[in-house]
Amino acid sequence: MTGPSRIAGGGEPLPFTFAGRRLIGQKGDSIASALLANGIVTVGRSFKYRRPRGILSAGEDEPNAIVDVVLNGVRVPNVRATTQGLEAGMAISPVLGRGAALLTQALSPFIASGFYYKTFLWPHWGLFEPAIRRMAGLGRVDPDSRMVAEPGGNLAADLCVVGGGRSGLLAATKAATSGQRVLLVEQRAELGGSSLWRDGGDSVDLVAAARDAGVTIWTGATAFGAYENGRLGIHRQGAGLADGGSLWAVQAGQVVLATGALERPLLFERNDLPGVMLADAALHYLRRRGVLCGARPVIATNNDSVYPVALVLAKAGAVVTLVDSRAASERSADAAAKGIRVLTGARVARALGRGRVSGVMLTDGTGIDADLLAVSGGWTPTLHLYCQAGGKAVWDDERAILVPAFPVPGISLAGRAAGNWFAPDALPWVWSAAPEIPVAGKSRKTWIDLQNDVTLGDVQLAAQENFTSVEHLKRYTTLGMATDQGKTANLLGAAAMAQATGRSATDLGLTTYRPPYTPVPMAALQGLSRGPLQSPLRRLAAEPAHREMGAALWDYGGLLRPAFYGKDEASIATECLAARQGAVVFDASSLGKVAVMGPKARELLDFLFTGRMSTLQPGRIRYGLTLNEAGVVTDDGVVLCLGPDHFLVSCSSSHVGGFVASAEEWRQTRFGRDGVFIHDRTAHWATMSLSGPKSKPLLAGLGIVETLDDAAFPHMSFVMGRFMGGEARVSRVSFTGERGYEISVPAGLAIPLWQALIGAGAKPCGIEALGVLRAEKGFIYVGQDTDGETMPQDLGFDAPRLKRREGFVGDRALQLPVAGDADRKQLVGLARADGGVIPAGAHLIEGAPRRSIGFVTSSHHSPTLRRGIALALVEGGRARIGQEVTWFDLGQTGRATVTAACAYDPEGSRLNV
Amino acid sequence: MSDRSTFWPTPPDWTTARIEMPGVTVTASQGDRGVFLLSGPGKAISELAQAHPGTLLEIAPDRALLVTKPDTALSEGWNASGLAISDLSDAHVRIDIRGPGAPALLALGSPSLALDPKPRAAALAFAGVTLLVEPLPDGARLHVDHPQAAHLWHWLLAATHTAKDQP
Repeated sequence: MTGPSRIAGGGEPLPFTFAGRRLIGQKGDSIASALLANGIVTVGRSFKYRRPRGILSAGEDEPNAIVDVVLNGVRVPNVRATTQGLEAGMAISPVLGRGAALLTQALSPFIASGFYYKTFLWPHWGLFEPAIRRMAGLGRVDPDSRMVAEPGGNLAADLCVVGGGRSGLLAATKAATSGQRVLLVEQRAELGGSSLWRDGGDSVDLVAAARDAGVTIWTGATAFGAYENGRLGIHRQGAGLADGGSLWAVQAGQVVLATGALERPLLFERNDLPGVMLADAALHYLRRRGVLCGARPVIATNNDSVYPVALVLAKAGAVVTLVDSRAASERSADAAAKGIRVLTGARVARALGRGRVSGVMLTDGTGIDADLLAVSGGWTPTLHLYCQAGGKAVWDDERAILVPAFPVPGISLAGRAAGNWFAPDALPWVWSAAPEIPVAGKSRKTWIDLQNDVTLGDVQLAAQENFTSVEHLKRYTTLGMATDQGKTANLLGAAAMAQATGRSATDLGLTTYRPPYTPVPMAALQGLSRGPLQSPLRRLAAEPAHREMGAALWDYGGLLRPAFYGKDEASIATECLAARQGAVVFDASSLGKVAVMGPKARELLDFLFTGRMSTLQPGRIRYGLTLNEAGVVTDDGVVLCLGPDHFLVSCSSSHVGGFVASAEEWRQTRFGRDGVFIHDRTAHWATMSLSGPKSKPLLAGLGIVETLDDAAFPHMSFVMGRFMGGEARVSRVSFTGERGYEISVPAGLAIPLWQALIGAGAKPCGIEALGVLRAEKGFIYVGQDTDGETMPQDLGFDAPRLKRREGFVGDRALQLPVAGDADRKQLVGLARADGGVIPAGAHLIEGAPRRSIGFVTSSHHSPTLRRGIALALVEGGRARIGQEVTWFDLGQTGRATVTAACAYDPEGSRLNV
Repeated sequence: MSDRSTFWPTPPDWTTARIEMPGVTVTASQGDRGVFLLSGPGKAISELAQAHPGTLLEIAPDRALLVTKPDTALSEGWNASGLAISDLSDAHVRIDIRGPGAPALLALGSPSLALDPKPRAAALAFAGVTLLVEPLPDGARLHVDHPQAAHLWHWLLAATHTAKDQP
């Protein structure tokens, strides 16, 4: 018998395929154990050099056995074969097949670390990047595949114990017995930790005791991250492959990390050959899955943890040779007495074999026939969460283990994670050992990071090129940056660098530990936040009425609003013409309604706006701009004076939150907390904007206000009225250039008001038509027709810079020399001689080589003017009015004449028609 | 841009909206209370609340929401006792989550409610929405701006799986 095979089992058979081959596993198998049981040693190719790779471990530290799995039509990429349970019908394939293997292997001597950085520097990286990106990557995402996920959520506990081994169970039981709410999470499906396959302590009683004590136990749950304020991120596995599980945030008063330790490989030439496996994994597969990974194993070690492994494998029928780099000891003599061939003071120099292990060469030249090379280079305590929480792991030379450097509040360590391998209840083996870095042999054939193909030679090259800190080493070589996060590689890499630079591992330290400890499915991260729940929009109170009228609802800056009414966008032109010729109604409920109240209200508004608001009289409305401290326009809106110390700011729909936050900050920091208050009343009010030459008689027919006489109720004023027993406020403002009335009523009356206006003859109008109507007038959308540099004077508002003397937000910036630059981008209009439409976003160019002098911010076909209209920000724009410019868009060019921004009714006479 | 009318589910009729789950009942209401946002000295807020019995939800040291009888008439604006008053009676949808399963559902939506099911400060983030929470003997009442209520309702519909084995 050669290679792995199942020697015990009898569980329910599970058919599956691997790389197209039909195979049979059994219930309880992981993918890895099922492959081994079928004699499969090579499970994929390496990332960079496409070298054949086998299964190294039996847990979350596996660097090689990463596979794509299709089950019931769902493709899940990058599945760790050592932790994923086998399911009937799985179609498994390696993430990297043979492909360009031969070519890449042949080139491998030339593509060491830094190869890409150095080789593709000239003429520039971007030239080569697309092709290199295509060649790189692991797994394949199938856009048609969808994993499901449970909602997850938030949880509070007095104590959260991470790790369901003996130490974790003991800690959890003790705390629960004292009355604490305890959550214990264990990433494997079963509790007991390594005692499930290692002798030395039965955990069945401990599990029962924990349950009896009331410990809440989550198996199949990985604490993948420690975050601020003692919060843990926990991923609970789903019921099957296509179930992404659920994500939990656990807030615990205290966290106990009983996360155990991970075995390290040994370093020697060709240590990546399939058939090289961690010794503990070989024991795991035998004890837990009934798979003997080799009939003639060589077990190489520098510590005592493999001796029980050797005995168990021998008992299962394997012919074991144990190679111990240390001197002979009582333990080695004991093993020899039990029939194990033990070679002490010996080290592996090289793994032999073509495509898989067929033998081992020792440093003294001894050759040993073997079909499995099980290795143990010592154990590294799993301190990831401790480090993520602010701790630091340091190497303890005396004990030859990695230990926590200092306590982190709220975090305790237990068992082997604490380096507590000598405590009375700990497992009885001496597992500690310092990493051994070979000084002879081919360093470029000695692999440290198997998943990212980083060799000992790469580390030495990094040292040679002075990338000598572990953080530089990581970035130069990509050591520890793969999906296994270097669990088997990081310490070896640091030790190799320490050796290469003549330092100690203590001086060098380790790279920063970051979440997640193991990959978390995107579906779990997403949780409920998918589809309409992913990025929710605010909704209008009258939305049902809009739907009833056939509105096309689009997303506008976080709001779901009617774009137009009708089957297609041809309705937009109809709505535009209706606004110019009759009366239209537009749902403007999302416009801000922010109350500013108090004795200092006027003072605050004067400070927030570029124009003076303190002179506003009750019943009147004034337009204004708001700026940030850099003098850049952040919003525009109107202010209504409701009373001597009571104002209402109607800001842009998408800027309500921003305006309130900014105003509140200035209120609290500059105006005191008791002289003025700001209330966002936006949601309470629904606003319907009636516009057009026939709006006045239409509104008069509804009897909402007593009079609509223009003398008593002029443009930029408001009056109060009643609608269906509720309060109504009617403002004369216009965003279309036509006579306009905004009628605001409590939101509960939104639909009746909409229906009343439609019933009276107003045509519905959506945002798209409004966008055309306001562009005809040269009215801006802040954020669309402005950019991150636009100041008031760029929009034609010179008074804030030239005339206003008292302070307001952004005033200092308006006095900077740059604010008076004649070449500032200014808002202008554009018109094509042929009446065509210039693409929105097109650049305006001049000179040779050509350069951009501005860009088109809004562009539409105007049904009223029967030609294209556009707004643009152009360098020195106002001085260019009348001149021709060239526009450029996606390779197209054309000519246009610079005009004033307002293309329709520049005198404003339509406001009173 | 494509029409998103079908992507975004229609908001429910708040007068009849109801979710029944094992151990949890969720109901909604709108516009049937007098709701006023009050800002100013705490003493003045307390005095006004005493004059208009109802529920006072503390938002900040100088800010609270008074939920009272629907016909309550309070003048908006700045009043003589230094209070700023806004009528928000039509601003919110109130969503009641009640039953033995309510704590788990509430904890699902907010880490704050997982830690403290009856927080003193009413304003918190729940399911991605900032809202006000009013503790009830058998659950909680969420006061949410009506433009965001549809999202919250559909989130509650989706959150039919609640954790069963919590400490």
